[in-house]
Amino acid sequence: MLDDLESHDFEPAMDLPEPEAPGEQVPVHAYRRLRRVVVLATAAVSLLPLAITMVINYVQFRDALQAEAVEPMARLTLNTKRSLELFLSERRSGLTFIALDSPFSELCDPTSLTRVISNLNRSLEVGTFVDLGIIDDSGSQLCYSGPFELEGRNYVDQDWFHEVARRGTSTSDVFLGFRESPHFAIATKHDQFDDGFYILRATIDAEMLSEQILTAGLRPTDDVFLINREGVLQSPSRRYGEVLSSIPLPIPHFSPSVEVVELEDERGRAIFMSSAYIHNSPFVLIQIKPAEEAMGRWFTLRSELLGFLIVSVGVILTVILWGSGRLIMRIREADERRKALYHQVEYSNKLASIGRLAAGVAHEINNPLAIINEKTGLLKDLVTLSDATPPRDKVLGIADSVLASVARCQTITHRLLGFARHMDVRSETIDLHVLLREVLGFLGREAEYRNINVSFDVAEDLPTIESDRSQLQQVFLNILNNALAAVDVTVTDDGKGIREADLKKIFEPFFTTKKGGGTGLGLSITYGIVKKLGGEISVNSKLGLGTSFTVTLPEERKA
Amino acid sequence: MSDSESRRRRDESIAFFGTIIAGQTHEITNVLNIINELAGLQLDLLRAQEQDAPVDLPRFQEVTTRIQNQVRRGETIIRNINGFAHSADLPVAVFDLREVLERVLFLAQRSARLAQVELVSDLPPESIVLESNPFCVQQAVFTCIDLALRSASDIRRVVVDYVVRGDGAEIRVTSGDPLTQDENTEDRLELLQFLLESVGGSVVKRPGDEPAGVSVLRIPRHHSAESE
Amino acid sequence: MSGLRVLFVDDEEELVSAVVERLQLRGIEARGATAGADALRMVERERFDVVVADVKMPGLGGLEVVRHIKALHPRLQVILLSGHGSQTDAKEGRRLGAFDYVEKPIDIEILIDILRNAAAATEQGGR
Repeated sequence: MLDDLESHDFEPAMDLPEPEAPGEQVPVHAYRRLRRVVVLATAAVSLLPLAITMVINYVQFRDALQAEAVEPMARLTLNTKRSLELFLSERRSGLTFIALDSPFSELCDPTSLTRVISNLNRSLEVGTFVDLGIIDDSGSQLCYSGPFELEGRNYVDQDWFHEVARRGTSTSDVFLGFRESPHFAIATKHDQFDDGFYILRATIDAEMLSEQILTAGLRPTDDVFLINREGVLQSPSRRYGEVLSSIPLPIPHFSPSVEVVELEDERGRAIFMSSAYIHNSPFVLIQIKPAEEAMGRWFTLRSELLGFLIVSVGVILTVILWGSGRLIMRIREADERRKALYHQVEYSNKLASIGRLAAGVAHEINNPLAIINEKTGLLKDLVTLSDATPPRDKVLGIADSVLASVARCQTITHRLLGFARHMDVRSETIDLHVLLREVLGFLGREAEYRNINVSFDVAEDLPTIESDRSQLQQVFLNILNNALAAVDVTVTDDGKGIREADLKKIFEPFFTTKKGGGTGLGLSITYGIVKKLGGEISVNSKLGLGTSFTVTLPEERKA
Repeated sequence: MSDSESRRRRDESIAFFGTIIAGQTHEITNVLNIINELAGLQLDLLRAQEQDAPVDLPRFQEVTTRIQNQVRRGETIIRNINGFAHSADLPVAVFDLREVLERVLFLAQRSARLAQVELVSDLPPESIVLESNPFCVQQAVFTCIDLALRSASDIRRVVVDYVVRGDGAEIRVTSGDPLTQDENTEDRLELLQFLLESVGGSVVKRPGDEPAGVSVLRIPRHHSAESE
Repeated sequence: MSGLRVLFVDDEEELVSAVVERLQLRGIEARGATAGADALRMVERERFDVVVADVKMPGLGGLEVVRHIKALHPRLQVILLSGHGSQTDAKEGRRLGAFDYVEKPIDIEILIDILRNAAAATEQGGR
């Protein structure tokens, strides 16, 4: 059926109605961007409060649980500290009592001294004084009861002596004493009438200290021990070994109260260390608890919180991503449906308009046809009625009328035909670069054969246009063909040019300046097509210099 | 379907419209040419008078009648063009199927004549009123007829009829010949599918499927397009 | 004008009869055919001086008729008739050997002039 159409009719006899602005094509990246925005906003709004809550919870729980873990430790350390201080205080009291109760002379007597120490040991339920000695204010041991031979020994160059002399009492570090086992000594100063003084010094088994260390509530991984201010163990430590070993931990600074700190042990593991300086002694009580253990509950809770956080965030993000994806997809679908509907409506409208126009034009033919009918009928009647030849002028009049009507019809059908051919314009998005290259491809060999150099000078940012591909190709083919034909082969400059008088007629059908005679239709067909596509074509030429054809095409197809 | 696909189909429909109009316009031109000749013949007959011969009046009248016949023929063509053009007024309309098919058959006579195939109407007397897209229905039937015209070889006869069913009508185009495939056939078949789907109908029997030479289109009574 | 035998071929029967009648009123021996194949058969059976054939007919069109006639009767002139003035057809027709190309609607006087010229050419043994 399409074979009927032949494009030799050049002018669209009537203009089809302008379509409304087409539904805009929303580019894909706009939807991606929208989705990103939605996701970010929703995520921010849902995750932010969650994050804040989690942080608050984390901090509070940690502090609470930490306190919970640490408190018993501190309490234990405090109690132990008190216990130790009481112990030491009692021993000092014992010595003080001895000094107050026994005359100096008695104390200088070894037998009495021995009796005293034995009574002392009996009176104290706990605590073994290993020995007891009395030292005068010049540092000499006046009398001694104990396992060693220490009478006559002088302690004037000992720090403890000076300390006792200055402070009135002194407790020593643990040292290896009797039987090479750890002991420590307590010394008290007692003034005499004659401004002198003497010192009572007793050695105590260091094990007594250890026994004072309370272990209630301690776990197997806990450790509690005494150190001196140099970090040397004064009592055995589970972790760090026997008495007189050094601990590898930092020594806590002095504080009158119990201090608890969290730090890393020598193996890098987190521990809590509670420390208490024992009053009136060189000792520092240390309790160690692995953080893991202490904070066992916290760590579990923390993992749970973290787990919960991860799962929540995961769920929230998943829902957001999925939800926003669906939402955007729905929006896009709705947009596309709307656009499709718009196009559908636009098309229906267009079709309806075309239909009405066609019907309108066709309808016009009815009038002249009716006239023909009428006139012819009249003629028939004239003959029938008179049964003779009707008068000549009458007949000629009717004949003229009929022929005029026929001519009228022909004009109308001409229009209708042009109109119908107009509808054959297909539309697609065309990249002119590609199209022009294609066309040049067709002519390539032709140009080569004639030694013509074709240079392609097209602006980079040529917009894509909506038009009819094959017809555009024909347009450019015609123009370029003409251009090639005009160029003088033997001369390197541009073509001959066209006379001004000819320029006006150049687009007319059957006009040609080719000597061999062409159909003269190439340019007029081109003109027709360009006009049909809604564009403009013009020509500029100077004799002897060259010719240029300019074709302007609309970006959107105006029907 | 993609946007460019839709656009292509729409352009195709508009081109189809143009083709029909162009074809019928050629028919009118033929009519006018004949009237022209007959009018000239009338004058020729009267010239006998100048040679003092008697005018052949009966013949004169006969020629007049022939002119009038051509006028009527022209008017019929115009009427069909009009009907066809107005079938595009609304995407959904109430119409009489028999009337529309008669028009399609009339308009397709030209193509049939050019293909030297006899296009026969075998429409049943009872009609059915459909609420659908008359333009799509016409284009679909035309496409079937067109495919049949291209395939009809020895038999040279294409018959169009329809059957009324409860839920709509089934239109049948019979040529008795297998389809002649060319590079456009596949596209035509897709177009057919598309047109039927857009009115909620279906291609019950595709041209080209066995048994050969028959195509059947089902049009539902009421329009329900899947693609809006 | 006697002796001029013309065969007029067009698929519109009414047109053929009207033209044939008009030619006959002018003293031309005219016959008509409504198909290219029929025309070729007639050309074999009877003597014609000129054939006028419409370009666009179902089956054998005017161009085919020209080709066949020129193959079998090279001296018989053919005039092509057309309703839509296609220059491609005109060129092709001339290339195949048609004498002339005439557009519808037919001006009978002009047609007759061309017929005379064509007939003369037939007599002289063709172009």
